[in-house]
Amino acid sequence: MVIERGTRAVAGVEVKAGATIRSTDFRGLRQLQQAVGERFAGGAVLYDGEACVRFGEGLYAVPVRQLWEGLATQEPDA
Amino acid sequence: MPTETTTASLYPRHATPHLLEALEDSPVVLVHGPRQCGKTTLARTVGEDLGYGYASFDDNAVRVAAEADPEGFVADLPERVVLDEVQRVPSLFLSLKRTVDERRVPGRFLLTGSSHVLTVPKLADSLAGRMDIVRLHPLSQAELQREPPRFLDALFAGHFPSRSNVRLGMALAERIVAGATPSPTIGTRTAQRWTWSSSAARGPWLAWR
Repeated sequence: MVIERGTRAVAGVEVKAGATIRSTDFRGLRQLQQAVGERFAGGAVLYDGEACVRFGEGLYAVPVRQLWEGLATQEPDA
Repeated sequence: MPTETTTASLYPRHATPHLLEALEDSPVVLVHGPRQCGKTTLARTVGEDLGYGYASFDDNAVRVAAEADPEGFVADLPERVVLDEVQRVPSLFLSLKRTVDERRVPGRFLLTGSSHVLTVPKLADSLAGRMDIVRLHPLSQAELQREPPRFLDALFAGHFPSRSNVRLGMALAERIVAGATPSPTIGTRTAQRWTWSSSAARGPWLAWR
């Protein structure tokens, strides 16, 4: 999914059904990132996993439940 | 999770701030969306808080009265009013337009209509430039969870806080089956929801997507 906000910002969302994530799952988002250049705001691969993991600049694997659970409120205790 | 109490305390709608803003700006505001997505509930809740009157064209007597004498019907309406299911009385739109043109007050009419209301030519023509449209979708997972929507903000900020979650597994499938419209989530039996979804799929729902 490609989402635009306003006239400039572009973000991408990829959806996986499974619980494992590979670097290749970000192929489409990286292509989008290269195609739109500095307009790229961020990209997420939604999956049914346990952790939010960064896969490079602005790219994250994000557990699908974070679509409806508070994102900013609960930082885990370090 | 779904119990009788869900009917008593309403789900928060993220469209509410947009609707309130539109009512401050525009003489006519239409809440527009597929059947059963919660238009009436949203309009009534917001309307009650702001002291609006209410009339539904699902009510036969109301509809017949409005069709018989649209001018008189509109003239007798309270100062600010919710008109529910307006697509049922297209002949009313011209009278609404006249009232609005005589005295342009923001938030005068709060209308609800299902998705095909915008294809009614009389509506589009007569209320162009006088009407703001608030599109209402079925309940989002965040609304069902009574959480503010944060995902898109995090996405566009390009940063997700690192935190651990428990995997959903079967709970994910259950969420998908439960769907997103207010009424089937109240029903507890899967069979009940299934019947509802299949009949909804035959209706204007598909056209909406």
